Amino acid sequence: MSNKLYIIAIGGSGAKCVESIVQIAATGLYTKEEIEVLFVDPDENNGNVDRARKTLSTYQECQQLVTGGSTEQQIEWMSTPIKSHDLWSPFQGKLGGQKLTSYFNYGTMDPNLANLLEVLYTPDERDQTLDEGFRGRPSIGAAVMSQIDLTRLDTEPWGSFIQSINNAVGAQGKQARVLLCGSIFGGTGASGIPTIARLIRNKLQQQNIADRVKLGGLFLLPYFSFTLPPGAETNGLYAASDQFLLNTESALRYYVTQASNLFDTVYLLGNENTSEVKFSVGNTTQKNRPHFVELYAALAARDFLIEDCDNKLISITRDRVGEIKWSDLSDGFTVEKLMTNAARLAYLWTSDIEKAVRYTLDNGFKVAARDEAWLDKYYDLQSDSKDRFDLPHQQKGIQTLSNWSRSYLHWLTELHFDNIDRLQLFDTQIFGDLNSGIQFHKLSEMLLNDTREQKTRQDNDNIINIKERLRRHDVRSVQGINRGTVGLAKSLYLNSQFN
Amino acid sequence: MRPTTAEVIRLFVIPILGMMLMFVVQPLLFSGQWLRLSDVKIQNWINNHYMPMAGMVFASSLIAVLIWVGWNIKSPHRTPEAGAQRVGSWWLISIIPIVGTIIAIVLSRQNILAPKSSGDAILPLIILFSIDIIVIYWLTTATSTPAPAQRLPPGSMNLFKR
Repeated sequence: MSNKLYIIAIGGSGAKCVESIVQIAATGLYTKEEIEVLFVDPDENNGNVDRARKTLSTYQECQQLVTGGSTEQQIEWMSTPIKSHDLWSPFQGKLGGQKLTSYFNYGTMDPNLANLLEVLYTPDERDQTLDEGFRGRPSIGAAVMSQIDLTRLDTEPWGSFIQSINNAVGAQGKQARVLLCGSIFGGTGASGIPTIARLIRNKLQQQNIADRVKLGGLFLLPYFSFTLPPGAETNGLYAASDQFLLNTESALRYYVTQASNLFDTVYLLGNENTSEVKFSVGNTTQKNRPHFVELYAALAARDFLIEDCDNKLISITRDRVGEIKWSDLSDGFTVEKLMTNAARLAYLWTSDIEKAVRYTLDNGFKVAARDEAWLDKYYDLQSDSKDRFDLPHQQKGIQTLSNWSRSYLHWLTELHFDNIDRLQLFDTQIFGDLNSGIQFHKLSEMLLNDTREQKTRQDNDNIINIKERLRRHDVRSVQGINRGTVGLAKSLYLNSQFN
Repeated sequence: MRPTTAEVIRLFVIPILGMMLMFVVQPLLFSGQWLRLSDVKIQNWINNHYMPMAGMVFASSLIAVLIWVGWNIKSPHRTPEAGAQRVGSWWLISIIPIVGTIIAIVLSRQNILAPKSSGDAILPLIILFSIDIIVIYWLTTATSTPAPAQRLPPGSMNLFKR
């Protein structure tokens, strides 16, 4: 019985986990089964959510191009389809500028309840507009999230999300694995995860499918911090790093005492050396660069998908403080192989194939094919061929692959930015500025702690050898589309693999 | 990039065929009177003039092949722009056998190689040596240049679909 993964990304940190999951999906680390994603955030313009949605969109376009919608994919790269249910906000359908008071109809509220609201929330908290999220206050988030009633799970996008789970465990005979991810030290994730998990659990029980659905929680503990800008009030209504540990402790206590049976599996991920990020109250400016903890989150999602969800305690540690190597990752050998294969493809596409394409456009196919001998293996000159180089769909395909390559390399680069805990996976210096400064012919330097022999590196990482293998490749052995831009990308992946 | 086995084989076989053409077949054309020379004793001329001239043309063609192939093995070009420049270099290198041929004919005509050269032989020699250069230099480089320059020699793109 195959498992199908559903991700509910709650808040900005949840969205960042999805960004990692999408990038990891491109490498083929998940199964060929479709993953479905739903974002939950009251801050619809949140920069992290926006970035994750763009990454997802870039991936979907490329995945669709490469597979043509088929699940019979021979290679690991781009083998996982991801469906997005887009974003749901608790304020959906309500007017903008919602405050706690307006959300609870404070003006017409029962006086006793109004008094309770006044006791629980300061005037600032009651009157703050919530368009930019819950400002790191789980108490505000809990009040709003608890208002979600079960019937709302029948409205979109919840309706189609729950229906999909129903279909997966029903007619398709699969087991659904629903993973809720987000931080438990901020506002949205901390308040949203238990509330939404309980609603889903109840809904599944109501539909008698709870036994075929595993519910997982991916809780992000503090792993970043920020300094308030000069002049900011220390008691102002925004997230504050010094509250993170306290919030985490409260949240964990809640799960132990009141929600211990809510999840089948729980993953706790954090880092004691917090990375400094730019302060933001929310909205488009809340856009933090990717962090290695999110890479662990993506691998936790993989573990949740492919492993048995029995009650066991698994911990993951690292060899040395201050650095993270391949061996420190869960199933590090496979992760190294597939992430490296995808990185090699993205690097070669960006550094070399794109250049050859530009040259071909500038000088004509015949002239270019003299230097790039692989060109006429994948493209035709005949006017009636669908594999003509200059056809719009071939050119659009090239652009789509370039977009994904840049997105993946950019993500890898940013993952390595942390100076306190150095990620020792790739030498991302060679990616440079992806628009202009990418360093050519440095493929052999890409992987850190590369143990291959010098001769193997020289042979396998030489772009001339790779292009020659491209030229000689028997494309008939490639399943599905094997010529044109897609065929070229698949052949490049197969002929540039790390070994 | 290292040449493939097939390229290495062609790199040896084609010059050997060229050598047989120059030193076995072409002298027969003269000694068998298919190409008539009325102003010299044929066998003496073949021994004293044709063979040294053929040796010079063969050597210069072979040197040109080795320069081209060796250069492309040693330092393959990295960009299409550099590849385009190498096409010019291929033509430049082709001057070596052409100059070798001219020198050989001049040395023969000036009787420096040996006395009694043939005026009748000049036109046939130019044609035959041109064919030899095409076989030894062009055909060898067009079929045996390793990647990524395998398509740079003119016409090589259509040869065996290289």
